[in-house]
Amino acid sequence: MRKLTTKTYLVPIIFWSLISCHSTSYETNLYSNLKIAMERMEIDNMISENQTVMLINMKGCSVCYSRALYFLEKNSDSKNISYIITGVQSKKNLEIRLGKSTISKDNIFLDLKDIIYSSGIHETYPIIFYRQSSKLLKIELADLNNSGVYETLSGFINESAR
Amino acid sequence: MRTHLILFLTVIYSCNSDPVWSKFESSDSNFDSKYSFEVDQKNMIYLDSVTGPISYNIQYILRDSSEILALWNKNDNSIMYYELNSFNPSLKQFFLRSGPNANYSSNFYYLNQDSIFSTDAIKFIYLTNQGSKIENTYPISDNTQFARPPSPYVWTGSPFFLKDNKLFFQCYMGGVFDRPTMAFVNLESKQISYFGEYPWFYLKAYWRGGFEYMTHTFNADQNLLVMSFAADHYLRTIDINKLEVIDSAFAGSDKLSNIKAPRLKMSDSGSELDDQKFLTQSSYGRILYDEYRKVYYRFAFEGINDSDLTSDSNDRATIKPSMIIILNENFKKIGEYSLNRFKYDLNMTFVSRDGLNIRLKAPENEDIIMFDILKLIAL
Repeated sequence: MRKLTTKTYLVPIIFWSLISCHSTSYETNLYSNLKIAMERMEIDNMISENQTVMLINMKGCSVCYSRALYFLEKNSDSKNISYIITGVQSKKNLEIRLGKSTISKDNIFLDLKDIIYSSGIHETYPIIFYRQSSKLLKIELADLNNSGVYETLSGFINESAR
Repeated sequence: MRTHLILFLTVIYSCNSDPVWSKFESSDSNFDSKYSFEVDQKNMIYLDSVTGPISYNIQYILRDSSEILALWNKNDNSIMYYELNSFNPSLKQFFLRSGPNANYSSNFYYLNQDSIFSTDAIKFIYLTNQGSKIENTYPISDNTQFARPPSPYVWTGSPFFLKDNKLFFQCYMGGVFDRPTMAFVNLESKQISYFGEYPWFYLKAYWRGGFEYMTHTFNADQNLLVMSFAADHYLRTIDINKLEVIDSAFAGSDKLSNIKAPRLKMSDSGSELDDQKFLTQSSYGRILYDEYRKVYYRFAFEGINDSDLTSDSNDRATIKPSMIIILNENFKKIGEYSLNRFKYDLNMTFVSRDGLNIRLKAPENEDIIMFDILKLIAL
């Protein structure tokens, strides 16, 4: 059997460390940009520090944002989550789709001035920021490959309600 | 030793993997500028409370000298028929989602009151009347010809059209370039036939990010199907009687540059940069035939520069500077017209008796759709 050298061990370890560092800094960066955007939108005081935040970009993947809006429709009354909708091409279409009463709920915010984008968040998939005491627990992208994302989210916001 | 040799050869091979380009001859871009546009009129339609201003399934219909704009309303699954410049829709046709006339289409092609075609792109092409009663259904694909046949791809930029009892449509499979680009269903036999192909350079690389799209227009005067591929400086024309590609014609500009494929293979890394490579390079959009003036219009786009790409503005970072290339019916370029970059929604355009209509973006008033009419003028 071939003898494994230190180099053989080290290379994958360094590689994976780099990947995980990148991933962490990406998420931290995303969250700090979200906080900047919430401040600029003047909604930072309207979102509780324990609330999960879902960011929905309507200029992104259409199947993905449709699924996110469907989740919003079903869970808009939950006090444990707030929604920020950006990339809105037609406010009227969104109002017709979700209903004016839903749009005007306290936990739903429309970014009609592209502040999310100008704050440095260019992600095309819905992003879920799980938080506790304003601290980021984790971030999940609701892309097409993430099949269980809404079950997890639903479980989390229901659990938090207890 | 053998591992080193394989590594060395891999490096050499990857260094030799030349990028694939869509190029044009600089001599092709010379032209006599004989035509341009002037904008001095508008078309308008007034919307009800359940219709939004954006629909990418619209059709201009000239009926008994009345100008009608039909548009798909995704909010209540209906076709709205508006007389241009009138205040109310003349008719609203709902597609039912249940019952014997259930139809999950979100597009349409109005031929006359008794014949409206649509497709759900999964199951059927439907023939309905204006009361939405399904008169007939047709297959969308033929599995005996391809294991994974492409699906119909129908919107304003790739509409259905009918010729000799054959209904033509574009077919599409994202990121697969060795399938036909067009098909027709024979309305008598219900047989599907495929034809058309991507230009050769699409088969040599992986053209994604936006380069994968094609639009088409049909010139009924000459029985010509004209196709505009997003990465192609040339238009491809097919004689619809023979179903043969008969020509390619330059329809670009010296303001645009050669286009490099984002990746060589689907498995290559860098998929996250496909969109950016599309945005920073030239590309092409819709092709329209103007039967009233016997000319073609092709939308063309310059790449976004680095400072715009990294700017704080979503519009600057995602909307490319645009122009319209004007060609006569012999595909000779006769004009070029630059558009205001942020003013228009280029996916909502149609040709009317008066000219080329392009929707004005107007987020402050969403109860109205306004089109600038670009009138062709000789210089």
